[in-house]
Amino acid sequence: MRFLRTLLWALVAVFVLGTAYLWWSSQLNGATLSEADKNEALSELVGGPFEMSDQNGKMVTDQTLKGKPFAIFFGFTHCPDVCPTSLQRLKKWRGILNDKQAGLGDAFQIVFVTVDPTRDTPKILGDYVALFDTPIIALSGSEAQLAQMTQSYMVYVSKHPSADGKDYSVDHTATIYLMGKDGKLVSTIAYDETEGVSLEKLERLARQ
Amino acid sequence: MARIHYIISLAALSLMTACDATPEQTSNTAEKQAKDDHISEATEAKPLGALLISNAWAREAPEAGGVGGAFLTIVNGTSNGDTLVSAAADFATEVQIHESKMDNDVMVMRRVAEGVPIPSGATLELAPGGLHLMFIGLKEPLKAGETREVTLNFKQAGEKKVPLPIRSLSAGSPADDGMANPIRDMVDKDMDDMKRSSATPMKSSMDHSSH
Repeated sequence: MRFLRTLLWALVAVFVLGTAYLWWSSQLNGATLSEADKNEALSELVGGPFEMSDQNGKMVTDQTLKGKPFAIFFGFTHCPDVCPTSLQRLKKWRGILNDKQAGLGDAFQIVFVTVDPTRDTPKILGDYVALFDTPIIALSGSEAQLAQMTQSYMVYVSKHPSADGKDYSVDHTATIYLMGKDGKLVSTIAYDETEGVSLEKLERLARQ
Repeated sequence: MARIHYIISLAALSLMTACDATPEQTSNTAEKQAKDDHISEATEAKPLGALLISNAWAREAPEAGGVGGAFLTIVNGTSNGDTLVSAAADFATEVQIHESKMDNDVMVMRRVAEGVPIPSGATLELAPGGLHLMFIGLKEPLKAGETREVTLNFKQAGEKKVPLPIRSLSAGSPADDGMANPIRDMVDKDMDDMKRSSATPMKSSMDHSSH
């Protein structure tokens, strides 16, 4: 009898602990995590080591970018639609912040990373970003360097060949990541974010 | 946006049909509607046959051999449905109709090879974040301030030549008032070519704390 009682109590304990564990893991998986907790978790995940070349052939790493906040965005020059729109917005928002307070818009760097280094050589990238008429650091590198960087930033990249096989497009995460001067994620701007919210986020970044 | 226009225009059209409108009346209404739609942008709508094409512009493109993008609005003021089948330009090896979509923060761009139908009375918008003309194999750079020409091929209306003013990259697009592009609403989950083999690492954007 005593053995049976112990066994039953043990089963109860397993049940209670199991339920508690399931509840705890479901908390971890997001549904009820607070935004602040999520940001905290993501700020540890996004941003990490990388080594790329800028449009002038100068090496840029996670270490060299430290010291000044930056807005980083992944795209490619064979994207005539969404990529230029995002860069145009960043340029416009930088201007608005500079108008608000001298130097505020220049307090963060704009970093554009090509997800198509095969076609986007440093020269092509340089000519491209120069047309936006605002300082932009344009990064490219080998496939391996790019893979390391997209992994560091949790950016999805997938080549999609056209039906005739002659061309390809590159699906990619279009979110702008706002990184603090310590190289850690502060915030993000989604492609469909309103201008007001985007400006608030950028201003917070610039005032870091 | 194109889809919303479709729905509104089709609804308006079916209402008019119910009221026994003559084709002429339908056409006039559609033309008037087109002018109303773009009145704030102060661009003139040029009647080209029975289709109205307006707001045409292309993005500056720095590299010969590279790509370019163009945008425009087509209003089908005729009493028949039509289809934008293809496009051509003498400054590019090829012109394709493309569509950009946002799928869980991932930008995807696909060719629309089968053309885009424009029902009678409907407005089709080629605008950033959605449909656009893509110039492939530019024979020379497209410089801001220049005007080029693109030829649109319609199933019914045939060839239409459209002037394309080139806008500088630093200026932004005329329609981008800084507000978000509502393209998320347009994501068509059924498009089988949008299926991706692996999961998106960052499925949802984390920071909406200031919303």
